Parts: sequence; structure tokens; C-alpha cells
Amino acid sequence: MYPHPVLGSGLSYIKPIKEDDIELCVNQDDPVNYRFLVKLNMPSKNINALIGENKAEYMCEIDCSDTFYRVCKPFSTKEFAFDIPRKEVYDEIYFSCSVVVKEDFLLEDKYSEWHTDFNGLKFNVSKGEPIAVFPIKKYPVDLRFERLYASGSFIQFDQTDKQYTWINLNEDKIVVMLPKNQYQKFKDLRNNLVYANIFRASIVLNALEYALRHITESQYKNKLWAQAVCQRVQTESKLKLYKNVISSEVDDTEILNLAQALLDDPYGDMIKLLLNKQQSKKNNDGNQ
Amino acid sequence: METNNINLSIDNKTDEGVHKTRILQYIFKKKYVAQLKSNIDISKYIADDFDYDKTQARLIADVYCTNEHLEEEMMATKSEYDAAILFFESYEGITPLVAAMPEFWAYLTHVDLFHYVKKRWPLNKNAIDKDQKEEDEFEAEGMDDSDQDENEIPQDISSGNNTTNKEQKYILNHWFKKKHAVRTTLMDLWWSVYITVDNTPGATDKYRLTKYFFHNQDMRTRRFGPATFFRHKDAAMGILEFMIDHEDLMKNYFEGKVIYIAKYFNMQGGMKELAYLDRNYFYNELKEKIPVMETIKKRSDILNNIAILKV
Repeated sequence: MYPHPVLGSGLSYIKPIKEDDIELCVNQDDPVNYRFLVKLNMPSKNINALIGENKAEYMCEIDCSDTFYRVCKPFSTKEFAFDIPRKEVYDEIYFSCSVVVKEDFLLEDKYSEWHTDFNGLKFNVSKGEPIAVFPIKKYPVDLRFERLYASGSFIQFDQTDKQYTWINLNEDKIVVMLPKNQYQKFKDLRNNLVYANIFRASIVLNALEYALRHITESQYKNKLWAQAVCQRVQTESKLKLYKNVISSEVDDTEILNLAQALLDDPYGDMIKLLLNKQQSKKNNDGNQ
Repeated sequence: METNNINLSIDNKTDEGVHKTRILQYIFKKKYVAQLKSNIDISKYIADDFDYDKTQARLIADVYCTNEHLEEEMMATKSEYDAAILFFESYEGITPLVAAMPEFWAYLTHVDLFHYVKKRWPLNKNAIDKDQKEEDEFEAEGMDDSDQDENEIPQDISSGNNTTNKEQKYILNHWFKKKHAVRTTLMDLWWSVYITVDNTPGATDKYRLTKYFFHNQDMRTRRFGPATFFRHKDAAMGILEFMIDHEDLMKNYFEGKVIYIAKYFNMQGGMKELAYLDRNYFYNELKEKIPVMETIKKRSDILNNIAILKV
């Protein structure tokens, strides 16, 4: 608790800050930096006025506990972008956004936004003290996550002594466990592009769909593959309509659609490739 | 320095025409580190060289050691400060990301710098008992970082008091990386330099603050090192600069004043966004507290005395 009213802390403001008053987007295209975009919504007229008067400003503290990376960036606007070098961070980055005092002044409630307990009161605030705090956002930046994210490859294959194929969700990636004799044959076939696409539209899609059905369960939701899927859904525009899939129970159609979107239309690719193969065979037969 | 089966040395010529060797660095595979931690064989740590599975090491891109005699030279240093600077300057490409990898430190402590680590943290009863005593004191002051510890000491080791358990715990503490506490060997040396090196344009001696930071181990590894506020480089530099400039103030019951500074900024961190403030803030804030610090002359003036923080 702070010695003065702070929006987002306790009940000092009648109208609180909400979870979606802060939005975090990331651009993964740059190989050197993570490019983040933060969008804030400031519901308080008091605070908007103080920012306009240059007595306070937005601040984003970026903290990576694992690497001692701790940077504080001030901003004068509600929407701001910044880069974080990939080689400076590991595991998770935390974003703590707030509005902080730029110079000492007397804080008062000009727009009647404070709790009635503070009626008529004024507070001396000094540089660095927060007057609004937003919910903390975090972003996973594990290197393994990077590879998962960049390649879209959530799946890997391994062999099992069991009779039938099963899906292992307990590792960093979704692991398709193929019976030993099938695994060897699979390895021989998968380097062929046509077969690889068939596998993608069958085994891989099945495995991903299975994983999506379990993604919200407590034992899986913190796995790297689950975090990678969630991040993609939250940040990629074509996947945002599937937000419900990763947050609550939905009908089967949505899960299948998300799986197809994550794999970028595997059925379509398979059919295209088979058609091309058929056409090319016809051409070869015609030339003989 | 052992470099596994293949020594990938690159012989570069610097701008001054001097040949400089750069040896690409190996690290352990992650699963192997987990295996080493869960099956600590004391005899391997007492042996002349650590016997490890060479197939469990792999190269890491863009990280080079530029000193093929590093271990030899570190063992010959007279102080931890000298060893730390030597180590810090002997590597290229250690980014905060690489430095956060447990696999990197595990390889260095078990292979490249095994003898140095054994010398610095000897496996004998006196050293182990002293280590345990320090841990107990640390815990008693409420500064236990075991909940942040990625070593996660297995229950049968942490709760056991027999000699083997103590030795295993000691090895876990000093051969493997802790999450972000500054209390192990090589990682502690590197981080201590990283957080205090002054690269400000115009700084005449970039290691001036580093040298001061190393002059007192208690301050470095127990008071400031693990503190959240100290991870803000401006805080670290402002505080150390103040301490150097006010040597007379600090020398009278140094420990007590360090405890006060740590407690004061920890308290401030609860009310202010310290990361927003620059090194001058920290320096000037302490300057205003000089009259308070002058009253700290014995343990009871600072321990269990919350009132002093409110002055």
C-alpha cells in the first residue's frame, strides 16, 4: 500500500484499472531484438491531466530476473514501442507499467475519482513515486521457446515400446510417440516432401488437436509448447479469434480450426502437393 | 584449460598486430546438468580432474575464451577481485543471456576451471561448516533465497546432517548456478563485475566501483548482491560511489552502515519506482542520511530497529 491514492493499487480510486487496460504485443521478425508494443488505457481524468501538465509520465519497467536485465523506460504517450536485445534476456520478462511523478507536487482529486475516505485530502508526492500501476504482464523468452515459436514446430517424434501411438504432453514440445517399428519407417519417409505434408495433415494435426484439448489443464498450461501456442494466439492477428480455445472450454470445431490455423492449412497443402504430383506424373507419362 | 575432444581455436590478429587466441566455448547439455545434480558423487569432486561424459558437452555459438592459461592465472591471483577481473576480461560473448544458463557455469566449474573452484571452495570440514554457518545466519536475517533457488536441493540432502549430505549440499551451492543470488563461485565473480563496471564516458577507471565492491565479501554476497534494488545498475553505482566518497563515515562500523543502506533502499523500493531514478538520486539520498548513519555504531543500532529507517 502507498501513502497516497494510487490507481490500480487497493481501492483508493472508485473506478479501478482493468486487466485489459494494458495490452502487450510482440514482433518476432527481428533476429536481434524483441520488438514490443505496449498499449495502455488511462481511465482517470486526474492522471491524464497530470501527464498533460508534464508533472507525471508513463513508465515501463522491464525486468528479467534471470539475467539482471532491468531497464526503465519513460514515455509521454499511452502507446509505446521498444526493443529488447534477445541476448540480454532469458526465461521470462516482466513488464510493470505505471505512471510516476516527474517532479514534486501536491496531489489532489480534481475530478472526484478517489475513494470517499480521501475526501478533501491532498498529498505531497515526490519524484519516482507512482500514482497509477497497471497489471504486470509477462512474456516467455526461453531460447527453446524461440525455436518453437519461429519455426511453428510444436511437434517432435520419438519411439515407444507401446503397441499404439500416443501423445506425450509433458515435455517442452508435443511428442508423438510412435511404436518402434513404425518410428524407423517414419524416419525414412519424412524427408520426402509429399510424405512430410501427408504426415503434417494427419499425425501432426491429430497430435496438435489432442494437445489443444488439454492446453488449459493445470499440468500442461505452463509447458513450453502451451506457452508458445498461447503467445501466438494472443499476438498473431489471424489467430486472435481463437482466444477462447486457450482460455475456456469450447466446441470441437474451434479446436480443429485453431490447429489448422497454427499449421497453416495442412489439408490444403497436402491436397495441392498431391495434385501437383499427379499432374507431374501425367506429364511424364505423356512424354514417354 | 581442457577444451573437450576438439579444441576449436581461432587465431586472430588484433588491430595492434598481436595474435590473440579465441577458443570456442563448450557447455554441458541441460539434461546432463540435471543428472550431475541429482547424482553427486563426492569422489569425482575430490579427484584431480572431474570425470565427465564428453558426449554431453556441446559448443555454444559466439562465446570465446581468449586466454588459454586462464585457470593457471586465476589460481595465481592474490584476491577474488583480481580473479574476477581476469575472468571477466578473458571471455568474449558472455551476454546476460549466456550468463543466465546453468549449463554454461556447470561446464566451467566442472571442466575448464575445476581446479580453481576446488581451491576457492575446498571440500574440507572447516570450509563446509563455515558455509553452513553463513547460510544459517543468512536465513536468520530473513534473507534466505532458497525459494528462488533453481538448484532445488533434494529433501534427503537438505534435511540430512551427515557428512555426505553436507558435502553434497556444499557442492550444489558452489558448483551449480543459483537463480540470481550472488553467492556462488564463477557466476558471482562475473556478475559482480558486470553490475559494477562503469562504462560511463569519461570514467578514468572503469573498475573503481568494482574494486570497492569486492573489498568486503559480506557486503557483496549477502547484503547488496542478492538485493533487488542492487540489480538496477544506477542504484549500484550511486551507492558505491557514495560509500567511496565518504570513507570516514563508512569505516566506523562498516557492517552496520551497509545493513542500513540495504534496508533503507529495500524499504524505498516498496514506495517508489527505483528503476526510474538515476545514480545521482541514490548518491544524494544517502548524502541526506549522513546524520542518521553517524548514529550507527553497534549492532543494536540497526538490527531490529525499524525506527531508524523512518528518520
